[in-house]
Amino acid sequence: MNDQRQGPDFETILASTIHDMKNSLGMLINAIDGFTQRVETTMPVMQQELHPVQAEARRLNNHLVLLLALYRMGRGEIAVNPRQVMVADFLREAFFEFESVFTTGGLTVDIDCDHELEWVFDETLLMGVVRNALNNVVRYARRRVRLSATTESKGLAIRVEDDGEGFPPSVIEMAGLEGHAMDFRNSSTGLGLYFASRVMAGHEHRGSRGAMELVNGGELGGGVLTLHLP
Amino acid sequence: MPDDYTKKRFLVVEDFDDMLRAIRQMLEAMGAKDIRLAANGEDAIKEMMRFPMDAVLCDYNLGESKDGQQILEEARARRLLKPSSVFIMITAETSIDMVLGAVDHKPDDYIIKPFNRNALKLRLDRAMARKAEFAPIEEAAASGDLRDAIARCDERLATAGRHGLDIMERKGELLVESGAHAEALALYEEVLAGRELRWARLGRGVCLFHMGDLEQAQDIFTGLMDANRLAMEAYDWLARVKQARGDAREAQQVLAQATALSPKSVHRQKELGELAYANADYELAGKAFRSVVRLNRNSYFRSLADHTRLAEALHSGGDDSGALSALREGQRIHRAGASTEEVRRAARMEGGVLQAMGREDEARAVLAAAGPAEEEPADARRRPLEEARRLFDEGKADAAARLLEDVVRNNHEDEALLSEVKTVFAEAGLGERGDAMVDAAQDQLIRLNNEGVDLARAGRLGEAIALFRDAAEGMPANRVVNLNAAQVLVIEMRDKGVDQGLLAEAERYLERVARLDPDNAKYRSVRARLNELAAAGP
Repeated sequence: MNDQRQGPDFETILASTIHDMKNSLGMLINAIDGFTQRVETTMPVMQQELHPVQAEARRLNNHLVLLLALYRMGRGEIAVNPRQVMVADFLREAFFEFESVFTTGGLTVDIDCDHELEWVFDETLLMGVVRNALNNVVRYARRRVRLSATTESKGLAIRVEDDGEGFPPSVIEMAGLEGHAMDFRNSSTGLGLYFASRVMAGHEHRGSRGAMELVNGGELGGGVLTLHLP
Repeated sequence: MPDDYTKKRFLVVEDFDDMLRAIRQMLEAMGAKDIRLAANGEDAIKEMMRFPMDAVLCDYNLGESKDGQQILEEARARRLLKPSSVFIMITAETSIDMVLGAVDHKPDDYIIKPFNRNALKLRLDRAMARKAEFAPIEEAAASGDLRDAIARCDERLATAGRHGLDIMERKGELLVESGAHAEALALYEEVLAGRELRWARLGRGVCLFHMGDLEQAQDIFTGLMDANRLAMEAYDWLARVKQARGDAREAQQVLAQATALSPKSVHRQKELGELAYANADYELAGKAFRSVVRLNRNSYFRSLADHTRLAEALHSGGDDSGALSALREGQRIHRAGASTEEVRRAARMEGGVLQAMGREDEARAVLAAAGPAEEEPADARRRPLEEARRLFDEGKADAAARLLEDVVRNNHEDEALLSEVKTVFAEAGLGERGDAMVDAAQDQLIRLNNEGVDLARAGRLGEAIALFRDAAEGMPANRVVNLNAAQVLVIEMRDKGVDQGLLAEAERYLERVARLDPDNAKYRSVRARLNELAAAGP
């Protein structure tokens, strides 16, 4: 039995504070997006200036979401719960979440996926991974972004590509390590990569596990994140 | 083909003003014209009673008000949602397991905050399209014809490429609901052979439980809990397994854990209260029943019986003044609307409490007004089991078997009780005979019941009434049969007008159910429809 008199522990306070900050940021993001839409016709120049505001607010929000998710994973409160997903809808949903940022950033986005393609995965957790990837993409892409999904021998491959400079070698190496630990010193992508590797490894089917792959090049010549789902 | 939003009626339920406005603006931007807003559960229900909604967007967490899940359950029970209405739960990702883990009523979809207009539209379009695809199945299920619903699942599975697994999931639920556990088990195993999916794993456990393989069922439920501490359904089922195995204490612990994690579930608090009461843990029972009363305070499902049960637990725990005030509060809230049986039970409880407090005169007056005492329904159902044990001990196996068969015929849907019946047989060394008898009697009742439902569906209402009338006379304590008997009479009167004789007959069947199981959800919905008919008059 828990002793009620002790009150919540620091961890719980931290988590609920993060939760609260995340909600505030959510409101802020909605407000910024609304504002961006209004200046679209009246002051197109303002739009570009709003781009970093939008992008950074989303980054912050995303990090809070990841922190919370990892906190809850640690407490055994998140488990991979795969369901049948229409993959094209999944990609469109990810796109919609960032639509406003793509617009202000002057980024053209292509979605390439068979409309009838269905796969089985945990939509919520995978969206967390893709969301994190898109947060980086809006920072590094120059003009173009590509979201695609195809079936291959290993299963489903979801790709997020851009035409930026690509990933630095250190990040590619880190992502390639099996069950790598978080590296706070190195870069802010540590949190995202750690989360992604946990989520991907949690997708298991007939002895093979999900995996994540970072390379440079691809269709657009920049960074390519591939999520392999068995 | 995107839906035309200009012709649809929307309801948004959200306690934060800014969010409410933001969602309304999104809907307006999609072309919606008819958008209704509610800041809490009470207003939401009122709006749904005034107009049928095409889509409801409801925040899960509504502060002090009832939560989104309670609103959904009430709306479904009161038939405020059309078969084509979509109900989308808005949630923070921290509550997502609560939303997806809902036991009986899952929303059509959910959306995680924050979201923008296009994301919302995607979910809405998707939910509406899905609803249309499932409509033939759900119509059959809503009419009570589960076999037809299952057949329609098979049709979809044979023809449609899309949503194959979702249809399998629904088919599994329907098979379990119709008692075809072996068939359901085969379905879940087929799915699991292809992929490890939580719903299929859980479904497999449920089937094994129903089929009496408690050990394997337990392994499955604990496995699901190990994988996810918030897999609430697994807790509920594990508690049932423990109970069926005779570990009432452990069952209580499991449910206590579950209510600590997810305290807002009324059904779970109720089960915990009952278990704790049976284990003589009156403090916990009182706490659980108090939660039931509190959670149901503004609910459609509130009942005087909740207060009576709370009073009973407090009284048993020695808190007579607490018991008395619980009863008085209940009687005040339920001055109108409680069934006669509920009122009498509350009064008898009050008399007992007053007696214990030494207030003999008041007690006598209350008891005299309440009429003679009857046995508690739960005890009444279990008493024959003790009797049968005694008969087995005395070597009168046939008499015991006859008695137990009667129990089965009157309670063919009460799996916990049926597994106890099997246990009594097994204790007497007649496990196989018991299993065969229970399964055969259960099959027969399911067939009989389906036959009646088929007749009603085919429009042969007269024959359906005759069938259920006979069945209800032969099995006065069978809840399903009595409920269906009342329901076909309600349908008859809705078509052909109110008849005082039929009204009284339906009332009789419902009173039986109320006595046996006053909290039965289906009872409440048939009761509500009968009350409407009675109020409308001939």
